[in-house]
Amino acid sequence: MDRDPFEEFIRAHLPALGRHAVRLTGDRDEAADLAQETAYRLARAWNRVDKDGNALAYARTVMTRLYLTRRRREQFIGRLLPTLAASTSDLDQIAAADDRLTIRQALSQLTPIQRTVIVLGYLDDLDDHTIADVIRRRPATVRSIRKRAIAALRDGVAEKELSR
Amino acid sequence: MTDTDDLIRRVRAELSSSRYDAELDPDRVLSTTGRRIRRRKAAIGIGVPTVATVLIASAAVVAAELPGSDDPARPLTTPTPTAGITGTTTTTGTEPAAAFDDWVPPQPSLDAPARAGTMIYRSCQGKTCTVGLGRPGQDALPLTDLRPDLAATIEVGGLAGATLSWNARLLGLRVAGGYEIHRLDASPGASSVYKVAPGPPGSQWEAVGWTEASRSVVLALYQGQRVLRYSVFVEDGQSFEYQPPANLGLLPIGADDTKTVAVTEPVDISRPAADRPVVGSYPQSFLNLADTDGAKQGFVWHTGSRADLSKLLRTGETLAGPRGVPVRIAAPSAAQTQNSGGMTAVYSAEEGSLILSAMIGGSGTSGRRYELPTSAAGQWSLLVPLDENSIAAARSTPGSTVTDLFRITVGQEPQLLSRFPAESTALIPGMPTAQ
Repeated sequence: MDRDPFEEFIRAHLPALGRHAVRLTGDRDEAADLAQETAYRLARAWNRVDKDGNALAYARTVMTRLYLTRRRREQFIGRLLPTLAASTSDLDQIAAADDRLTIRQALSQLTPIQRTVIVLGYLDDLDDHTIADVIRRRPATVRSIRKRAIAALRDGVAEKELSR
Repeated sequence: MTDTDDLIRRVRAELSSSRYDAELDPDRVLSTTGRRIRRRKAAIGIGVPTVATVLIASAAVVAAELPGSDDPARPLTTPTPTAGITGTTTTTGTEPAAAFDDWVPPQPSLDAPARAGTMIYRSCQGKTCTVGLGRPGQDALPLTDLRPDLAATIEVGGLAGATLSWNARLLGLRVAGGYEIHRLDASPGASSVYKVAPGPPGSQWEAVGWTEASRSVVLALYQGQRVLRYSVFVEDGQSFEYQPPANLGLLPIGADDTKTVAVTEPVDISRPAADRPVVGSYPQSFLNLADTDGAKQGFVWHTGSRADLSKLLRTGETLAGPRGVPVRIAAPSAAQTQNSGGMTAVYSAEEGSLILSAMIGGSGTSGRRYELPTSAAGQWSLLVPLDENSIAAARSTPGSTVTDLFRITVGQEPQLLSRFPAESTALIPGMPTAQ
């Protein structure tokens, strides 16, 4: 018996959507909520999205916009939860293994929109026009955000490496 | 100086690592999505919820306040049902309702306590009140999404005397002088799963407490400093009542198990709080509320032992709570294993009133005090144990529109769990009555 196309899509692409959510949020619990909400939004629009033929791109767009909307609301009301840092023992192990902790901490200092542009540009390999469409900004604004994000990352990394 | 290409390479490596895998369960995502879609269709089919008028009215205020509410990035044209942290909502009448799982995600078992930070609050602006379902780290949801009938009851009647089970599935409410237990994960409009009739004039029902696995709740009908009747609801549908003799002279400390309450003799509460005898230790007895294997209903088991926490009390503190007896709350074990023993409330008299000032877990020399932070700004109030090792406390700051809910663990920094509107009545799981 054939599976429902929506179910088939979720089973095939949920890992990728989940990864996208964790990359955006940096938090697995929040990512799970984000993925669930995205699935619901996608289900509601499924007939239209399925015809367009690029449901995964649509789902990523929905997820990214949901994430930015939530973050904007949090900025207004104050963050609900502080960014969760790894535990001390966790940090020690990771730092001993590689320099990812430094990058991770620098990423955590980015604003939501900066982090989004980094994820969409360097992990999803989207061009500036597509990123601009996803986040509803102009391509020039995307370039500006990326420039500031890289500067912030560089500062964060330099600060951590100097303090070692 | 770090080279940009190298920096980007390192960022890619980090974000490509398995640390960013989410391990989501497609079956759960599909079932939750399907349920929400079905509820949405049903909601559209039956029209506007009964309390939508109030919600739409408040939505206009929120829309003007929240930057995200007119967000051009919003991917869908239909407004999102959201109860903001301000306690007001942006729900429209036909928008799909949130499901219970959106508030309390599925747990390994129905017995498992809800995530710390889960709560219900009632917030009023003028005569308009809304009821929110607080979630850790996320926006609150409106109770109207789950149970518009109960939301309407609480909006009008408040949360006084209400109680919420540890797993957040069962809500007890005073209704028309009686008391009702409702399932929050039931369909809107579902009848109560348990109901007790009002008592005589001057009496009121209160929750003595939940057993820690949310399996049962003990209710007591108080008239002054006397319990006229006990009523017990067990989640499997059992229930039983017990009318103690007028001369029993013992009041409940807390629910011990499904069929037993811990009891002791109260101190006289007719005197001002500051003049009452200090209670640091007390004799423990147990009262059978139903037949057990070894004894009949009404049997009082005097242990002969005293719970002695006097060494953990400070000057001016007492264990005697508002009813003149200690208040002991069964807390879920962090490991969700056996009885954690719960925690005992510590009170101090301030300006004629009893203030909950600390909690003690364990007993005697193995007891441990859980205190409110003294270094952090704001006005703190204790609420309830979250588990055997931590308590929930609320902090409000003058001029702030929100109150923060924290987890307090001995030797650790307070952990922010969730937020709810300032000046709200809050109800968190396991709390005998709302505060």
